[in-house]
Amino acid sequence: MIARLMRLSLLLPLFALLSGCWDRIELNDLLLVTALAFDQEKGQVVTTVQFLLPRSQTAVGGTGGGSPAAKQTSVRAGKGYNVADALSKLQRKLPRKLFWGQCKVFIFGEELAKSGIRDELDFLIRHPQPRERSYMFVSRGKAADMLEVYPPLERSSAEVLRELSDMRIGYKVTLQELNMKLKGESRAVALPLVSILQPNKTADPFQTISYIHGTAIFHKDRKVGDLSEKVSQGLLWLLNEVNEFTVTFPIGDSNRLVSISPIKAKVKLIPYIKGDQWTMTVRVEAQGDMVENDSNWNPTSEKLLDQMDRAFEKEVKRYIDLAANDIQHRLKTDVIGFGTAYHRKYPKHWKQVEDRWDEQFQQIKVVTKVHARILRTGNVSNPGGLPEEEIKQK
Amino acid sequence: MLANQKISALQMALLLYSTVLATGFMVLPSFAALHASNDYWMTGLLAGSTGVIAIGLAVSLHTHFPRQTVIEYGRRIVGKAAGTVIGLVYAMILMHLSGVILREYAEFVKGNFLFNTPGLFIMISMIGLSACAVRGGVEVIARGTMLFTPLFVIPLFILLMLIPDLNPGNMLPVLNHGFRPVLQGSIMPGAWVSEMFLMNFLLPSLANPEQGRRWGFISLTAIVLSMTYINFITLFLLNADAGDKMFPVLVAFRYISVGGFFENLESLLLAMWVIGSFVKLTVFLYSAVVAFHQSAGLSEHRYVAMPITLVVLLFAYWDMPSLSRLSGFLSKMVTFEVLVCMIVIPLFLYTVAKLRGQLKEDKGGLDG
Amino acid sequence: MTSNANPSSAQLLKQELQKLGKQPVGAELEHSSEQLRQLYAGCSDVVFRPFLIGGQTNAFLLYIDGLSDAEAIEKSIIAPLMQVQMQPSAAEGLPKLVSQTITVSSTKPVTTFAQVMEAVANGMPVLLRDQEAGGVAFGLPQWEKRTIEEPGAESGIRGPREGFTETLRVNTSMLRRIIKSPLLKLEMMTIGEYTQTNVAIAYIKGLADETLIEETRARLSRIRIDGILESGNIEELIEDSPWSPFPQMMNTERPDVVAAALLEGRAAILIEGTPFVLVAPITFFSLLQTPEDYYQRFMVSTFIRWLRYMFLLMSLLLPSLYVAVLTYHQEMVPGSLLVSMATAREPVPFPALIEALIMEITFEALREAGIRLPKQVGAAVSIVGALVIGQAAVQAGLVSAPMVIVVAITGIASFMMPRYIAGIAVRLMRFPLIMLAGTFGLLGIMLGIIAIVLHMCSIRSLGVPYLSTLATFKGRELKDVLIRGPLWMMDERPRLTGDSDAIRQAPGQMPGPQHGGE
Repeated sequence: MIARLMRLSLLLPLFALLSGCWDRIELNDLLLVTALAFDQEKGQVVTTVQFLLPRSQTAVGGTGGGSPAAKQTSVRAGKGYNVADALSKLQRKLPRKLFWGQCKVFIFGEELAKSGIRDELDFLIRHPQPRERSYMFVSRGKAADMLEVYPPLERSSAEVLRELSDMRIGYKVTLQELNMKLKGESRAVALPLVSILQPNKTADPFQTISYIHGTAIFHKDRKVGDLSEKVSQGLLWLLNEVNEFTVTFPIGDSNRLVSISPIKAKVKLIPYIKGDQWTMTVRVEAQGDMVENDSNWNPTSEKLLDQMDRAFEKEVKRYIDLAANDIQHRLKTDVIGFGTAYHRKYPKHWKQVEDRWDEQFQQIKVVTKVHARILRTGNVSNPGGLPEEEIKQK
Repeated sequence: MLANQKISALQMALLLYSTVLATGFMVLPSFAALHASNDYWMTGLLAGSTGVIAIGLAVSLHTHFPRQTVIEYGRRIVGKAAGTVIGLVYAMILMHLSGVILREYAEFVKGNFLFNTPGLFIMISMIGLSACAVRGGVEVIARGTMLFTPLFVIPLFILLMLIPDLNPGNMLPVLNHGFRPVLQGSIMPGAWVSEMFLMNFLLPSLANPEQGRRWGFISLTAIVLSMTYINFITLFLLNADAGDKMFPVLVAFRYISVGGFFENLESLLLAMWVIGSFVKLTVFLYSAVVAFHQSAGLSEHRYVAMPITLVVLLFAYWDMPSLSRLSGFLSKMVTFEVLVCMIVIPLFLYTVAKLRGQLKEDKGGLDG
Repeated sequence: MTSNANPSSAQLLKQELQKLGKQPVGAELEHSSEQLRQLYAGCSDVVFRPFLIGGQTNAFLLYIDGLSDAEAIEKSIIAPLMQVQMQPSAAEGLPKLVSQTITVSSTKPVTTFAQVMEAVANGMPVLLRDQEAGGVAFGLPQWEKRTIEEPGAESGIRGPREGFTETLRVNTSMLRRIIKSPLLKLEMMTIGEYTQTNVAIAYIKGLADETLIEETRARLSRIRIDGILESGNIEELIEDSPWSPFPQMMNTERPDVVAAALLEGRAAILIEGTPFVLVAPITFFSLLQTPEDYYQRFMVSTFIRWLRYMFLLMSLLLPSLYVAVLTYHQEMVPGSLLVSMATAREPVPFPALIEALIMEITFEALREAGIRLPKQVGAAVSIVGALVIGQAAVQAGLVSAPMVIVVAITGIASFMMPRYIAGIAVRLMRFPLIMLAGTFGLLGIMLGIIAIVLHMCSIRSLGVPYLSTLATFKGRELKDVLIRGPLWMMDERPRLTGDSDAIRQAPGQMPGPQHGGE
């Protein structure tokens, strides 16, 4: 057996020759795709890829390289009846093979989002190349425009978007989550909305970034509306995605501001059914450190701190109520996951309302209960730069 | 061949562990979730029951007919002619199942990693290695498995890196659709676990046969725990969507991301898959070879290894037209074949032996 | 070369020699001296010294110049015999003469020509006397030999500094100095038609399995060959799986390594003319251990062992993994690294597979050149290697910088193998793996690993499975494989074959204050 193996191994060099075909592909023949954008144009899909230009990298040698803001990416688009068709047409215009391994950003154009993203989603989830962990975005305007800009920092605008989502201030939805949410109880999902930042006065018009600003609300696979930046923050509270937020709120009669950051919060959705009345209690445990105090209150005073805590709570509650109200009554789409909560706790009741969940959703009474505390007051106790006598100690 | 090569009970346990789990952890969550929805985590536990039956049958039959395989004591129980028929049925089914395993292996590799490589090459390279191992004998297989099992098990723990993405709430609501779908979802995992009966081909080679039962059950416990672990991970990550994925574990591995550096670990799964499939295929091929050469009454198993390998390759190459057919085939035909082979025939033999009183008369040596 | 029907002159000569060898040395000195002179015709180094014993009886002394101590022959054999007064009768013969007049410590009677030839070849002068059959050989061998030096191929920081030499007797004496018990047996045999090389099997009776020693003996005595020049010749003729790249015996220059192996119940084969001693049976893991592992603190040794295992895998797999990842699984590389790799590879004209092969082969060539070249030139080679491979090749765009790093790490890793032969075997395996990686990617590597492991599982060293301990899982012995357990915990010998005395030291010797004096 061994002798045979040895003799067989003489065939190995042959394999090396064979391997010219099959699946081997050199790095030099790959086009490193960083992001994909989908737009709709006259009933057809335009797929735009953003890819890295390997030659302008300054990794090797270290001597070359222009300014760090030099353009390192380029875009190219293909148009077709569906994504696969568009991509195959796009590939004809590219000398290298599209490589999606590091492509982690997919952006849907506004128009496409309004008419439905199901076809695109099917491609992304079925094809073995797109990563399930890619981040999904919706653009204001054309999605391709988001990829045309090149950022002063980071290699590509796609990377900027990814970094922004990863910073935990923003909201991110991965491809897998998107798929699961659209299949889930409420058949709705909220995706981050991106738009282009106004470039600096001295920079050239494309040297800017696309950034997350607001939220797009999808019902089934169609975009049904937007949330403003402020309401989006409330939505994050409801989704228990609060991390490293800064909450700023007025205290006392003077309406002077106090800021708490970073916020750590635990949000629980507690569904309850009594008779016909469906109630959802949103219980919030929030805490954070004081980073700015514009008032004249001394936060080390127990009484004043208590009042500050109350004001903090009020602010959080305001955020949440605003978002819940907007989503429930203006958009009438359960992107918060009330449906899931009810399904898990009241599976029998759920079966009755499953088919008309969107109506039922609007009738749910949302009760917000916030318990918030300021944990630390920072490095000073009394407000900074304020004479002793002007400070309110009690 | 059976007499002079010796393996330990621990080695047998590891062989069985890899045999059941190798392909099991890849396809079972999907099949189970298809029926049982988000309750499919229970299927692993339920499936364990067929394992108990399979081990019980294999061990107790072996106790009464020591150092014999199902082919040999089949003859003694139901007579020479009928026994030979049973033996050939075993040989055929095992060859066929080996072919299915080989095809499954190739399909996964081709569908997710090597899109343009001819499937025949992928299959030949694997079955060639298996054939070499089978020719080397059970000792070589067992020793190899000792080294392969860690390679197969350790990557499973890498899935723990997914913890931040896991949502235990996906378990709820428990048993929303009642217990029936769970039972339905357990049939395939049950068939998989019943492959434990293959231990009857290994028991005669055991250096310490009295430990066979104990290690069989240890192996079964490990299998059930691992299956449940995989089920939980995929359930918490994908919810009932797992039923929609061809290979939920693949998605789980693709989903891992630690610090933006440890990412896209599906290639690791490829490595596991190769190792696992190799062990599984080798055990099946070995059993098929033993079954065939014993029922044909040949003296040396090495001579039949190569022809049988060729037959297996033909089964793998021509039997199934496409992956979707394969999965339909897996859930029906294979489940049936496996259950007949691993539970029904042994149970039949056991009952006949019991009725004919052979179980008492032959009692000796080992403790049932 | 030659057919049986028509034997060649070499065969005729051999047969003649054998025939003569069987003849007894006759009583007629004239005749036997003529026979011997014919035998050694053309051997300029053979000295025939005729003289008269006590001025009466004819006698002559036969020895090889340079192999025997000429001065001692003169002083303690020829001089006393010439002056002797006594003339013993033929019946009492030489033995009496020798016992009364000659001061040489070791003597041995010889009766056949074969014995004469053997004695002379081993540096023992042979005395023949007229009117008496047979003769006496004197133990006066003396030849130029290398002094005991530190072993060149196995250096270490802590441990004995002496290494074996080319002289078998010196080597056996070194072993005997370490293991003084008479249970250390040194069985001699000669192998080789022309070289008549002395070979000794060393083992400790009671510790080494009897069947093992018998098997070794049998395998050695099966050898029919012109000559044995080095232990490698013997190794190749007695190993279990000749079709294997892996060494199934360990060779070492260090007496302490051999002694440790003997104490574990293994056998050693010492061969005249080489400082390398064979040790068998071994497992793959004994090739990955150094004697120093047992002289250093166990935690340090454990750490170093793990380092070694890690780098063993690296030296085997790193280039092929690099090729597989770069040409098949690009998604495994983290984003920013992938970009810099892509940039580095942009000017390289070769596929990664070819690039890896070129670099690996170049590295092997440099290594080999470094060994063969005279020491003075060696430095030049390394400079050229470093400059050409490291700098110029990258700047010329022939290879990419990451590839150079990979090859460099692989090179270092392969030098971490304590046994040169094991390192070479691993290095050899690297090339098929690189090719498999270039053909099937990671799948190919896994198939390669499976093939290698299966092969290693199927080979044995003198009957002991090569991957014993790990692949057969002897739980207790793992503490000398996965880690290097503290000495006071390793109470049992490794079980090789059969059942030998398992306990090697008194249990419970963990030192501590409670065991101290006071």
